[in-house]
Amino acid sequence: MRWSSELLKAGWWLGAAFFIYHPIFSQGVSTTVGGLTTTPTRVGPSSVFWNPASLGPTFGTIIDTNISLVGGWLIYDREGTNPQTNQEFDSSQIRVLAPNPYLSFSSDFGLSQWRFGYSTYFPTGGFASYPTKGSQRYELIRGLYIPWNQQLTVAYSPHSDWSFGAGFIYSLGFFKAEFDIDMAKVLSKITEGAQVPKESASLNSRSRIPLSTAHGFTGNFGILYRPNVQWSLGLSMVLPMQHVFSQRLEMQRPSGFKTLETGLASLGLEEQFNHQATFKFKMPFLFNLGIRFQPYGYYTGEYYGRYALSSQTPFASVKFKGSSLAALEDALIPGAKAEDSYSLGTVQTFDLWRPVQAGLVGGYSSSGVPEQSVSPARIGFNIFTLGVFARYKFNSHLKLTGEYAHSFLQTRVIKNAVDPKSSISLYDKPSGNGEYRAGMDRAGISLSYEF
Amino acid sequence: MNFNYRNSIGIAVVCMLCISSASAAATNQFSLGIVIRQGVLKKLAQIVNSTAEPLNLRYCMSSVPQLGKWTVDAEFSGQLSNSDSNSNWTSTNNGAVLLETQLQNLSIKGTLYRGCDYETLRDGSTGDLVISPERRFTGFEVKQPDDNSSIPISVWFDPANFLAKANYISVVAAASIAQIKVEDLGVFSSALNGEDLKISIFTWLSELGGRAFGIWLKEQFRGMSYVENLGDLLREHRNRSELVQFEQGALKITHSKGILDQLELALAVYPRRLNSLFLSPKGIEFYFNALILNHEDLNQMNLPLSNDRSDNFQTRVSALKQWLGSDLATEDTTFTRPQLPENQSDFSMFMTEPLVNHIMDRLYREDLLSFRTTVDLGESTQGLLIKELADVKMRLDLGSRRAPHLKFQADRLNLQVSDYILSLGTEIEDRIIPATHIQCSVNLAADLTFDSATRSITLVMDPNSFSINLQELHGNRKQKLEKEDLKLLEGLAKSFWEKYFQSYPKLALFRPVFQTDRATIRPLDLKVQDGMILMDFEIAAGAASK
Repeated sequence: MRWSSELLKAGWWLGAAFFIYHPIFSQGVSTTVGGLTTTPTRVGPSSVFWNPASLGPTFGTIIDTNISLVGGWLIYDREGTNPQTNQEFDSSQIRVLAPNPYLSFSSDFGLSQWRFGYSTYFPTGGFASYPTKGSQRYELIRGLYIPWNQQLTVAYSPHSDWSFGAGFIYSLGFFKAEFDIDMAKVLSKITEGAQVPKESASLNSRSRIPLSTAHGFTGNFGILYRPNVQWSLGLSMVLPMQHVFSQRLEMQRPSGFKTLETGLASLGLEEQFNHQATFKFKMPFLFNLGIRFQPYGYYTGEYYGRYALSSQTPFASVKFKGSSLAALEDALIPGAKAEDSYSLGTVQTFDLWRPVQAGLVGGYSSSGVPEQSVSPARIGFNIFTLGVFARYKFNSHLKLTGEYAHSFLQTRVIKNAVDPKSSISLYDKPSGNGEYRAGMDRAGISLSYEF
Repeated sequence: MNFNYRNSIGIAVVCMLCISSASAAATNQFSLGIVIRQGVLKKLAQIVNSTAEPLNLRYCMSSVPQLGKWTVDAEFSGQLSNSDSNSNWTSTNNGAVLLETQLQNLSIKGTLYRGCDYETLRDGSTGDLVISPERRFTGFEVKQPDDNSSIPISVWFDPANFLAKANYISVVAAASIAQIKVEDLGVFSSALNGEDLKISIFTWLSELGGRAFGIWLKEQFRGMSYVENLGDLLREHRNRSELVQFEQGALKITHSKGILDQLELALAVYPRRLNSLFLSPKGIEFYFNALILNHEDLNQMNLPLSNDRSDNFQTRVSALKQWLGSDLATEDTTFTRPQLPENQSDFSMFMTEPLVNHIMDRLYREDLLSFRTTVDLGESTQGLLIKELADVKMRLDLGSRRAPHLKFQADRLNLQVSDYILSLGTEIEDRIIPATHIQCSVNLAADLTFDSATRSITLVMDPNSFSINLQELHGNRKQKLEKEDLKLLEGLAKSFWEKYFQSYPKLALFRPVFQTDRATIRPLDLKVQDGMILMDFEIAAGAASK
């Protein structure tokens, strides 16, 4: 493995951010929306994404906020040799440091059985900036997909044991991407039989999807059952959601085509090939189950499981509507296959002395990206997370929580990745085969204020 | 021995015509040489000995003044020694070569007639000789004393003029060995005895054999002086290779025959005036001048034209042939006698780098320009980039600053095509819109071979050795191509031309000095050695039966 010289020059580059929890353009959901300690059984507005019924047992007006700083790295060592140098590919690497904020309000507005809340957060998505000339450039150079959720929650608690909640989620999605398309196939067709070099810089068509936004709508529902002080049971479901970005794809003419520019112009092809397309990102059904057990006053154990029904929801498909290139006219790139994923975790809380709580967080999340769908733009890992937190209760109104977690991401060696570009004859794209390694840390601070 | 020879101004003084001729031809004039080795004698003996039938010979003699002219009509049979020890030659300081051999199983039966007016001796209806008592004066028979004996005989051979003269000492010695039986000399017995007759016969045989040797040699060397149209050679070569076009996908290389059809280029070869001949134990070395002339060159030479005043190329070539045969031919070129490698072949021909490169220059500079490359963009991109078929082509034309150049390496040739300008443009219906100009340099290893179909020395390209370097010529314009783009074009060009040279690897150069269309001489080897192209020939086994 050799390191990209550009990376060495750049060192740690902070301007480029990395995945929030699941990597780039992935379909999963962050396991820590609202902070490390949120679970389906936790009471308070910070957990409304995991269970809208979590507002049921609250009183008065509460403001919960959390800000996390996520740092991570990912190294992709592409399989095979560089056709230009006949040597191993240089590593493609991302190092990022990005904030992930969360803010929520809840209030009973003087009602005894009804609670209302508003939350804003980033449930998933990511953004990355790979080396411009890295071996992954045909998959992704720069990209961003971030859904920004605004959730209105209503909870009804007819009885002290039961709470029911529902959330309406409006999501504003942001999307942009930049990558290369290898036009060697076009030249191969023109010069049938000639040895057209693959991945030549001269045949790179730098392609760009400008930043665009899309609206997404979904909802979630939940039940929280608290039969006594010792036990709580939470159950919730998040409905699927999709963002449909309608944007143009701009392909720069490869520099190697400059000698053909007059000819191409005569064929009606401008210097930039423009295509209008829709890019569809889908979020799957998400089910959450949590149990809270407090056998003693100084110890609370919370256990949760989450299941994403990703296998039923193809992710990130592209449909070309209008194109200046014949091969892309009405072309469809179906979404890559996904598989269901799950998370198991626990939050162990200890009341050490009266104003202070401390705890441990542990969890495991399975990758939702099958081997055939892995690429530098879409990689999922099996993740083990271990974290600690400490909470200080200043008074009856204000609580401050500090948290830190390290995630171990299981290295993936991909041998059978498949390009889902379907029958598009314009280009060939290298597979995502290779080795993916990553690591992640998260440090956050939460503030809760009860009026 | 190496020496440099500067041409003599005296030649120009002798004939003012030569001044203009020389100036026109000087830049196109080169040297080439041939070597005849001693093994030729042995091969010729084999040829003579393979003749089963006796030779019927007739010769007019006048060696005895008292007899006036008289005719020897003889039937000759015998064998020449073909052993290295008995067949030999010795070069002498006077520029002649003493050719020595031995006769075995000699038998000469003949009749002597008065006079040499053969036609009066012949029967008008049958053509046979009519032996009248008045003409026939005796019969004779010459033979060896016994079957195991042999009769040494030698002849002086003048290689400068291909003439032979009997070696009197050898003749006398041969006559002393041979036995003669004469019927009856009658009244001439006082003027001619058996010994005189033997000496006359051996003198005649010696000169006859030497002269036949000279004539045979001259025939093998295409008369020593000849002119041929290299354009004909190239046209014949191209017809055989059926080169019309080369296609790969949308790329099509076509070769316009227009220029080839009009190509008229004379290669004139004739012996040097001075220092044309060197004798050594290795053999006889002949050196020639080689001129390469087009129609314009021939016009400038002020050649004396025949009655046919038409100003066409063939007329000029004919005049050139006559001119080469005269004493007026142009001056010799400066040359250095090469150090010839040891060789066992019968003949060798060698030529130096400037001559070969000049032929390449004159033969292929314009021919290369007739290559045209088009890429049908419209057809090849339909369905991929464009929806409807369009008549748009990319066009590549070659322009040259210099011709293909052969670089002589230690043991092979390297073809260099440098400073070629590739003009790229777009052909839209009947218009061409220029795009850019790229300077190309190509290197390609080549081997030499003798192409038996066209009987020409031919370059055979090694496609795998093809390398190309491109550089965009942009002048004051903005440079369009990046280094990577040029590298891409180089890769594509290499791919195309490798396949092209796999299909069409041969480039005809010229035909050798030796006459190779009679199966008498056969090419043996062709190689690059010591900065020369060296081609070896042998006298073909069984050539005598031809």
